[in-house]
Order: sequence, then structure tokens, then C-alpha cells
Amino acid sequence: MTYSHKTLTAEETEAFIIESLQLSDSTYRKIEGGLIEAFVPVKRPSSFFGIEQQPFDRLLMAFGDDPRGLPTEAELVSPGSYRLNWFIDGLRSRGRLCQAYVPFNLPLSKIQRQVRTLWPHRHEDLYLGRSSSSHEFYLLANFKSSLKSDESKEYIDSAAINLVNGAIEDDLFECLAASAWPVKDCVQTPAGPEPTITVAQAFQRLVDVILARAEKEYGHWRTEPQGRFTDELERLEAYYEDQGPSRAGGTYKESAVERQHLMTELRDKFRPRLIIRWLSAAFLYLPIVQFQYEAISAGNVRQGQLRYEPVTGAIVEMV
Amino acid sequence: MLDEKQLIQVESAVVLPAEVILPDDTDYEFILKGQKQKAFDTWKAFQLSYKAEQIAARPGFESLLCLEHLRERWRKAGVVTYPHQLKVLRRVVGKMRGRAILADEVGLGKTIEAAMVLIEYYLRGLAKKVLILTPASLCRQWQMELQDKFGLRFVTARRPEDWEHYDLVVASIDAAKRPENAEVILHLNYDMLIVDEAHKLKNVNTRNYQLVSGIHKKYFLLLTATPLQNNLKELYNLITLLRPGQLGSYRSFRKQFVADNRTPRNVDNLKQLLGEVVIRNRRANTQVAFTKRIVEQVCVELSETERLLYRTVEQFIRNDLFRTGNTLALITLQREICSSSFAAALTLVKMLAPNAATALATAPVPVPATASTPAPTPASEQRAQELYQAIELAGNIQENSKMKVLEEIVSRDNEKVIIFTEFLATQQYIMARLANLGMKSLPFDGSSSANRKEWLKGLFREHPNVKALVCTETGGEGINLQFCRTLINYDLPWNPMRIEQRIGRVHRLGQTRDVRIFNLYTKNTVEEHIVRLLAEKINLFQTVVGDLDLILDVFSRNSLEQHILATMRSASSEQSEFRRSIDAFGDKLRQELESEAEKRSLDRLLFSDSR
Repeated sequence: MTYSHKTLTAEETEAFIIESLQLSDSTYRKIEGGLIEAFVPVKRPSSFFGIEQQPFDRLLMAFGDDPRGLPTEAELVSPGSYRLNWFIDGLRSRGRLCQAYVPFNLPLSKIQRQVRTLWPHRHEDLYLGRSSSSHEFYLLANFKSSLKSDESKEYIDSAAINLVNGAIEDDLFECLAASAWPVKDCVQTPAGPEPTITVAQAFQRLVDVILARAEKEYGHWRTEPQGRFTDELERLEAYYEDQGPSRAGGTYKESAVERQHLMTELRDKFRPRLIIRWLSAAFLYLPIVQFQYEAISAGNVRQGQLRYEPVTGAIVEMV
Repeated sequence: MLDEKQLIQVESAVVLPAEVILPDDTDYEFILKGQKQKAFDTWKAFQLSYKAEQIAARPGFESLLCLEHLRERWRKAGVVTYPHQLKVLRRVVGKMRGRAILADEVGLGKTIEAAMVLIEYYLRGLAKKVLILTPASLCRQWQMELQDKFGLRFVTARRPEDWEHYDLVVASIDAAKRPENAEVILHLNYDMLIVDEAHKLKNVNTRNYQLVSGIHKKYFLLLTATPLQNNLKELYNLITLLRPGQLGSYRSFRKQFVADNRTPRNVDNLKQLLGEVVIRNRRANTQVAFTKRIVEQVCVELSETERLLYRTVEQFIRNDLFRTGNTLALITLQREICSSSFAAALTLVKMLAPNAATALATAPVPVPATASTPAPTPASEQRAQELYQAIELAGNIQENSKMKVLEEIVSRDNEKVIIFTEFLATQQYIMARLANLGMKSLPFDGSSSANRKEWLKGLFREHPNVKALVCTETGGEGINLQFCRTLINYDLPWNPMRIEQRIGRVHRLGQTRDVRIFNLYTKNTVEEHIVRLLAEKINLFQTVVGDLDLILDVFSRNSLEQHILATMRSASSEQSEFRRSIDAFGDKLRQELESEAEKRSLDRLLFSDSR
């Protein structure tokens, strides 16, 4: 799933700052006028005389569009502002790698009910038999894709891979956010089947997925600058065809050098580039429940095994 | 060996190879290492850092970054942007793809526009190596504007190694074209090149033009208030420098668009082509409303002793013009005697005995008691006598009539005032006298560092007890004081550009109140004639900002200083004769102004409907 630039409202900005303050264990409080006063830890270089300095800065942050009436020491925190970028920069040193799991401990009868609700063949009667549950190992990775030519655009992209069976999950991050099952940090990894794919292989597969998405969704990043480049090139070539030697009245050789120089300029300016940069990754252990089943429809009986993934809500009939 | 015709077959690949840069091995190695060491952060941190990246992801040009980025900085610095400036920004980064001639009329904020374009590209990582070329006198101003208003620290490059070493460089075009510098510059790849006062790049045969043309750049802005001064060839050169081929070859341009060098044809077509690369906003088409300039010429009657000193010094200057021909020193003396007796006294002592002046520089009233006598030739004895006489007269003057008038103006209300003088001695005298009146004032002169100036400026603005900022010319350079609206010219420079620079400190975009300007001049002195010339003949003080470039242009070709000196050489000491000479000079300027204004009608024809 890809995300372009997100413009925050004043309320969202404030919520983001509060979350960041909480993550960094900073002291803060809301004060009169909708301001937030925070004491954020900062690194201070040791001074020559060893004078003790406060290990934190006091920030007085305001949110909203109307800066009138703000105390002089207050700063407006809005999208693009120095202070918001300061928090964003700080967050870049956090959360690059995590390990988490989704606990899943519903009674079997409730799980069966969920599976029946999600069963895609509505005309069949579904009978669930023996079940087993475990946690499977996933790698979720976030990437930043930058499209650059004479203009630029960035978006954030995310994809996951099941390290046991190699299945790609496009929307796992969103599913986790929307899931009724909260994600928990884990030190001890839950029991489950051994992965069959190495991290290096998995990472490469995810990069391929991201690249394919970029080509599919933003294919014009390649064609549009090419179009502009062609226009410029034609104009330039027509000019030199008609102009002859250089503007300064030089020779053919000088003219050729000048023309080459300008073409290089154009190529450098319009050359399309796609830069995919890895941002963060999570090792996830997600619950899987497998059932033996019988599906009956008009006297026909099908038997098999199905796999239920509570986080994504997927039901997969296994061959 | 290739012949010249073969060489012209330059490589011209039409397909741009796309480049894809993927994460490298170190990324998953980081993941593996973290897994092995169990160096995991929390899920909460993972989610929040993802959210942070979403917020930080830069959108396409449909959403501009610089406005949000600068909002808080501009709120604190009191910078106001105008709709026409935002339109320029959108047009340059959008349709014009970062190549444009910004040709707004004077006072509409071309520098701000260019800097907004620059920062938009900078924030997107598209402009990392940037070069700004300006006339030497504007380097500092650019540097300060970019630092104060945009938070960009530009370095002034002077030595060959600077160009490569620093990514954000501002330099004078004269420094850049020196062979040792040009050689380096022409081998570097700049993401963005900005050239201020670009009307100086109209001749293809100049080194300036060839340097700018040869610099490797992706984005390119040319800034000029006068893109066209009645010469279509020059306009063609400027446009071709920006975007070769925009107007075709010169041959086809001439055939299609030139009736004669001053008269275009196919005007609509030409206008359309120009509109693709030139943006020209006029005051009339913008929402910029400059506040009024309320100018008061304050005539000061000299006391008997002052008048005697003035006549003595003036006569000495006339005599010395023939004796020594040291015009620079004599012009300074003439300007000093108009400023204050203390400023003149220092120079008089220096002329008599250079070493004594240093010792006396800090004394409130210079008295040449220990001055050594010059060599006893008749001419030099005569000169020394005249100097002695003038110094003695200056020594007897304890206060200047001008100062009394200044005190009266300053005491009228509680407004903070900026007082300009050309001379340090006068500055000290003014400050001492204001202090006697119980008024705090701050000195602003060329010796102050940029940081100190900023501190003084803040102190002046914020501190309720500080009444005045007393500036010398160099002190006031490039500093914006639009929070203040009263300016007193204690003495007047003889160069209108400098007068305008003084007024520009307070009367500029962002000034919300009418500006009051007091010009102090002494009756029956050269100052009176200059004020008459500037105020009545040229109407300098009331001219709207945009038309000033016309006046300043005309003055740049006609030095007032030189005219005054010539008059002093040829005319008698009669003030009436002096007055006639200055009036004649004023008439000549008036005529030139009218003719220049007529010439610029071509500009209006071709740029009248700039979109």
C-alpha cells in the first residue's frame, strides 16, 4: 500500500507531537490557550569549564492557523515547520526494527463462528473439525520511494512477506492497524513453523514488490520527463541547425562544444530517477488457525483443510 | 583528425536512460544484526516513525513546500508574502521548469521570489549546489536575506577553492570571472544558478555573458527590473542565455520580430514567446500598496560662527582645488562641513598634520594645539594659515544649529527614530547630545559585526527606553528596520542611490505605516542646492518605488559630486551662481529622465500583459 505526503490538521499535528513526547518520555503538559509546554531531553556537548547545563530544553508549542495573540516565546508547530521537522528527525532514530506478535486467544467456538462468517462459498454448509493454531513468522518492511527528474515526488510504501510460505501480503500494515487484535512487543518468540526463506531473500522479494508497484502506479515518472526533454532537445537542435557557429561568433568546433554542453545540461536535468530507500522493518508473529473441514452442498461433500488468518481475515483452502 | 563540420555532429541521444537506485546490502545486514542482537524498538516507535515518514514525504509540485516550511520563521521575522509572489513561485516551478527571467518592477520583491523558488527546490533535494552571482555591493544583502528570511547560510566565495568546497555560494560576478575562479566554476555542476541585475548580461561578447552561459546548471533564474531597454538584440541575447532557441536563431528572430532594432513586429507572437520565460509584474497589477512617504525638508539657519566657519572652509576648498587637486579629500571636507563642525574639524587637523588627527579623533572638539607646522614655502604657509584659521573657528563652536533642530524633532513624540549621518564624528556628537537630553541611542556603523548588528536591531526594536538608532552609511547597509517609520537624514549623501538605500531601510514591503522622512539642510550652503535639486527638480523623495530605478539609472551616468566640484572650480563664491549651476544640472537630468521614460515604452509594449 502506498502513501503520498500527508498534510496534518492542527489537531493531528498536536496528537503527533504528544505521541512523540510520550515515546521519548518527555515531561509535558497542556496549558492555557491550547499550548503545550514540554521539556525535551537534548544532548549538550560538555563545556570547557564543565559548567553543569540543563539536559533538556523547554518548548512552548502552539497549533493552529492563527498565530495572533501567542506569547512571544511560543512557536507555531505546523506541517513543514522547523519544530515538527525536528520531531520527525528525532523519530528517524527510533523504530527502525521491532519484533512483535499478535496474541490470539479466542475460544474455539468463537473462532469457528468467525470462519463460517468469512467462508466464501455461501451455498455450502461448512463443518469444521480438528484444528491447530500457531504463529507464523513475517517480515514487514517500509520503504520510501523518490521519483526525481526536473521535479520530485516521494511516497511511503510498505509490504510484508510470510517467511514460512513466501506469500506476499500487500496490506498487512493497514490490516494490523485496523485489526481487533492489538500488536504486542515480544522478547520470547511464540512457537510456530520454521521459516523457509532467509531475511536476505525476503528483503530482496520485498524490494522487487515495491519496484513493481512503482512501475505500475507511477510509470509516468519515466515518460513525462522524457517528453519534456524531447521538447527541449528539439528546440535546441533547431536553434543550432539554423544558428550555425556559436552565439559569440565562434567556430564550428566551439559551436559543437557549446551544443554538447547544453545537451548535457538537459540530460542531467530531466533524467528520471527512482530511488527506493529502506526505512524500517518488523519481525511479526501472526496467528494462524488451521481446520479440517467438510463442505456440503446439494448432497456433494468436499473435504479439506483451511487456513484462517485472523489479522487479515483471510481464509485459504489448502490443497 | 576530425574537421569542424564533423565535430558538430554532437552526441544527441533522444532517449533518457532511467536510473533506479535500490536499497543496498547494508540495509538487510542492519536487520540481520538487529535480529541477532535482539536490538528491537517497540511497535509503538515503529508505527510512529512510519507516520513521521508519511508526514515528511515530499509531495509533487502541486503542493508547495516552502510556504509551510517558512511560515513560522516569517511570522517571527515579520515577512509578508504577496499573491503575485506566490504566483511567480508556482509558475516558475510549474510551467517554467525552473528557468525564468524574474523581471518585476523595483520594489515588488524579486529577491524573495527567487529565494522562494530556490528553497522549494532545495527542500526537495533538487538544488544542493547553488551559485548566486550579484554585483559586489549586493553580495552581503543577499547573504543576509537568505539567512534571516530563509535560514540558508550562503558563503561569499573569493578564493578558487571556495567554489568547490561550499555548496551554497554567493559571489560577485567580478570575482567569479577572474580567470583563476572561472576555471574552477566552469568545471562544476550547479543545480541552480541565480544572477541578479541580469540586464548587465545583454552583450554576448562580454566575459560576464560568456561565464554565465558556460556555467553548468539545471535551474536558472535571471533577475532584472529592466529586461528591455530599447534594444531588441539585447533582449534576444538575454532570452537566449536563459533558454537557447526560445526565440530561434538570431537570423530568424530578426526576420520574424524585428522591424528595426527598436521596433518589434509580430508583437503578439513575440509577447507570447517572452511570456513563456519572462515574468514581469507591475505595481499597478499587484496588490502591493506602499505606504506614503511624508517628506519634510527642514531648513537650518547657521549661527554667525558656523556661517563664518562654512565660508572659511569653502574658500579653503576652492583654493586647495587649484593648489593640490586632491579632489577626494576636498569633496569629503565639503560634505563634512555640511554635516557638522566636528566632522570637518577632524579632517582639517588631518590635512594640517596627519598624525595629530588620530590623537584628536576622540576629543569632542578638536583644537590643533600640538599640530606641527608644514614646510615653510609660501604656498604651503598660506595653506597652513587657512587651515589654522578654520580649525580655530571649528574649535570655538560648542554646538551645531542642526543639532538643536534634531533635538526638537526627536522630542516631538514617542516614536523611535533612525538618524543617518555619513560621518562617525557626527554620529558620536549626536549620540552624546541625545544622552544629555536623557535619550538612549544606539550606534550602528560599519565596524559592527553582523551578529552585533542583529543584537542592536533587536535592542532598538524591543527596548522601550531606546529612542534612536544613529547609523552611518555602511552601518545601515542591508538591514531592514520597517518596524520603525521615522527617518532623519542629518546630512544628505550626494548620491541618490545612497539616499534611497537609507529610505529603503524603513520604506519597503512590510511597512504598514506612512513613513516620515526629515531632511535637515543648512541654509545658504551647497546642501540647500542639493536638497532643491533632489526634492524639486527630480522629485526623488516622493517618487514611487518602482520609478526610482529610472532616476538612479540617470544619476549613475551623471555624478552629482563631480558636478559640484566642477562648479566650485569654475564659479565664484556667490551662492546665486552656485544655484544656477546646480539648477542647470537638474534641468539636464530632468530631460534625460523624460527621454529614458520614453525609451522604456517598448518594455510596456512587450511585457504589458505578463501572465
